[in-house]
Amino acid sequence: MTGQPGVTHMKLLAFFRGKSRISLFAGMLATALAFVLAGPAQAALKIDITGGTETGVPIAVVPFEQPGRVGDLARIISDDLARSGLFAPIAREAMPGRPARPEQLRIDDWRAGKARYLVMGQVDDQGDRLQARFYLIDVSSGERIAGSQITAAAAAERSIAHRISDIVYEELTGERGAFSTRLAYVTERGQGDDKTYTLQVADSDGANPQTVLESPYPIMSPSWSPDGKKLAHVSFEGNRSAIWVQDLTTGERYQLTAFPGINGAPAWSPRGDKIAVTLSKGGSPDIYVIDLDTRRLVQWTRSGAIETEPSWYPDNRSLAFTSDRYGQPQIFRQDGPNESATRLTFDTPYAAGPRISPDGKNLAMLVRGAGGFFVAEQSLDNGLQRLLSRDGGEERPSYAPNGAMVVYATQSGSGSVLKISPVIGGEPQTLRYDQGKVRDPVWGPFND
Amino acid sequence: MFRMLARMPAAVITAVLLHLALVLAILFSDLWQPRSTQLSGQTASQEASQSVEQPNIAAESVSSEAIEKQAERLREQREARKQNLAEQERAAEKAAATRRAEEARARQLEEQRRQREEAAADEAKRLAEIKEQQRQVEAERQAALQEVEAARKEAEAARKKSEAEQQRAEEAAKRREAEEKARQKAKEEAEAARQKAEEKARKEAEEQARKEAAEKARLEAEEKARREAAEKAAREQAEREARERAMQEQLAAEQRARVEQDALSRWAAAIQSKVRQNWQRPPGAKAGWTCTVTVQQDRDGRVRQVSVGRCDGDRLFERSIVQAIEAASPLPKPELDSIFQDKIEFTFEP
Repeated sequence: MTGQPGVTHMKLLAFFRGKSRISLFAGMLATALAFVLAGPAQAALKIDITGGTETGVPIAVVPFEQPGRVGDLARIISDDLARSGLFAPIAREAMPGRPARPEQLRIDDWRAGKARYLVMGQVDDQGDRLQARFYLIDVSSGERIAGSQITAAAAAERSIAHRISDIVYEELTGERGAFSTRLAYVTERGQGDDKTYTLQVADSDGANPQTVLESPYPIMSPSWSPDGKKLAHVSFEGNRSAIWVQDLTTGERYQLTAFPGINGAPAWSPRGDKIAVTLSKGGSPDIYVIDLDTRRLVQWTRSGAIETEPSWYPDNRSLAFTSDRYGQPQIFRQDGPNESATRLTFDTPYAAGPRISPDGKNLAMLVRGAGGFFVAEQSLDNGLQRLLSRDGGEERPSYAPNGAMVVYATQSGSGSVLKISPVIGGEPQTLRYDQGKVRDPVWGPFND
Repeated sequence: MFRMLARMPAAVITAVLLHLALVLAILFSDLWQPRSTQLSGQTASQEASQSVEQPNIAAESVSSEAIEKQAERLREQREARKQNLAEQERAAEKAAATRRAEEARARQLEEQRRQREEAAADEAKRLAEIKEQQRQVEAERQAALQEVEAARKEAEAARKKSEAEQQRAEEAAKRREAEEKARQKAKEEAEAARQKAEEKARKEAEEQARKEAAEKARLEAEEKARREAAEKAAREQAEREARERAMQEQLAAEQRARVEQDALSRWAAAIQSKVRQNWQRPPGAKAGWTCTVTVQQDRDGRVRQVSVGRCDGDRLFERSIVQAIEAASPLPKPELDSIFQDKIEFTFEP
């Protein structure tokens, strides 16, 4: 039903709205809140249900039947689902049993409990490989919604859990899960002149961090190539800013730009053919686009103000960026090098660090509000803005490839941490990092 | 003649004046000729003869021509008399001279005395004659005046007569006219009266006809109204009875329906409450999302089938609705078996 065209939906919606008005009239005769219309001509009793309790979908991820050397996959899955903001995994203590296979499931026990869905499974140790089998059960109906078998290298046990999370997520929501994706971010350790900067790549839950670049010079603003194989970033090697592109598989890197002044904020285009950058070689920082095949540089903005932090629209043509041409930083959209820019943000005195959502319908950014800087999302349809973070020390966010979550760095004590917020609202989840500062997280693409 | 007089008043007046002048002239000429007794006598006789003739003249003087002729004749006579008088004067003077010459002295005194006496006697006689003459002249004048007056009166009388005749004629004409008019008027009035009478009769006839028609119509209408009233009364009676029957049936049905409706409302409320309690709506449901599901239940309220109809919302939302119903199974049972329905349509909105 969700796949039907919107127009049909609207018509049908109107149809049922009309009916509910009739029901309302009849309902005035009836008990409050009970809207009834019944009679010889009515084949069915009509009842309206409004409200309900908004809550994360209660789901029980039963600990898998698995070898002791394998990590707790159920925990990983449960955390993934919780991070999405849609699910409320129930505590293991509240589970009436530990089924791993359908024949072990006593559904009536579960119906009495809170969980509406149940995930159970088992992992077979096959030496260097692991074979997992899992089931997604609708507790209410007892129906098996999904079930499949996943094989992975023994070292990739977490990826098995993330793939199960993706399947559960997609099965229940209809949207693609983004748990089997990666994050890139920069860390900073040390004091004074003895600082170490690293460029890291980790799983979407922050696990499995891999250092792809370590440097005594600051590293900034990583950007994923759309195929997930390369990272562009800014490095201050030799105390001069330059934009580099690093191959994640081979570790090879090359310098893309090293113009006088600022070379910053690279943004890989959705098709991977261009990188937008900020250069101050013309005086003030402006947006330029580099064609990766021809290396031709095209200047997009020419104002005397600061233009930076470009972000591509999914059409591979337009850019959103930050400009303080009107005083305070605000977000603008520009559809080409010779086009004029359109202002997108009006509601806050400070809006910066734009990221256009993967579907092009929303804009995540950093806004200044009471108590500091927050991550906000603005609908590009109706302009409505919602805050997605709560701390006040946030930095530029980045969308998960399914657009359902954003990751951002925020101050925490003397250091900083990464947090993930579901865009539908809900409690942000923290990705722990205890070794200093972490900043500039960017969410990588889907893995396929 | 009157018209002639009227046309020539000047002539008449002239004639009258001429007469008067003539008379006066005669009178004065006699007065101024006191010595000639003979002549006086002649004159008197002439005048007398004339005055004898005058009535004839006067009698004829109805015409101005006659008057003029007479005036002419008088003039000629006057002229003649004047000549006579002059000749007589001359002769008298000659005679007196002769006498005076002949008788002169001798007898002058005596003669004179006697003559004087005679003369006195003559004078007295002449005075008497003059007086007579005067009287006669006066009488003539009077007679002439009377004649003129008579003529005038006659003319007046004639005029009056003429006028009277004319007046009579006019009056007669007027009378005739008046009579004619009266006759005409009478005729017209008679005609008008006749027409009026006819009109009145016609109108009365029409009025009568109309009244009769109206009366007929009224009677028919009354009859029709009576008939219709009767029919209506009968119909209404039937309707009333039917209505009363229907009302009683309806009341009974309503009573039943009310009881059932109340029970149905309570049943629906109970189902609604249980389903809502079991609806765990996932985050992210948007205003305007709505889903309709049709539920089949058995007599014990156990949900047998849940089919999602139109659903505007994401999959998790839709699933939460189906789960809410399944979780609410068995659904509450109604108080009355009669109102049980195995099919329920739910509309869910966030």
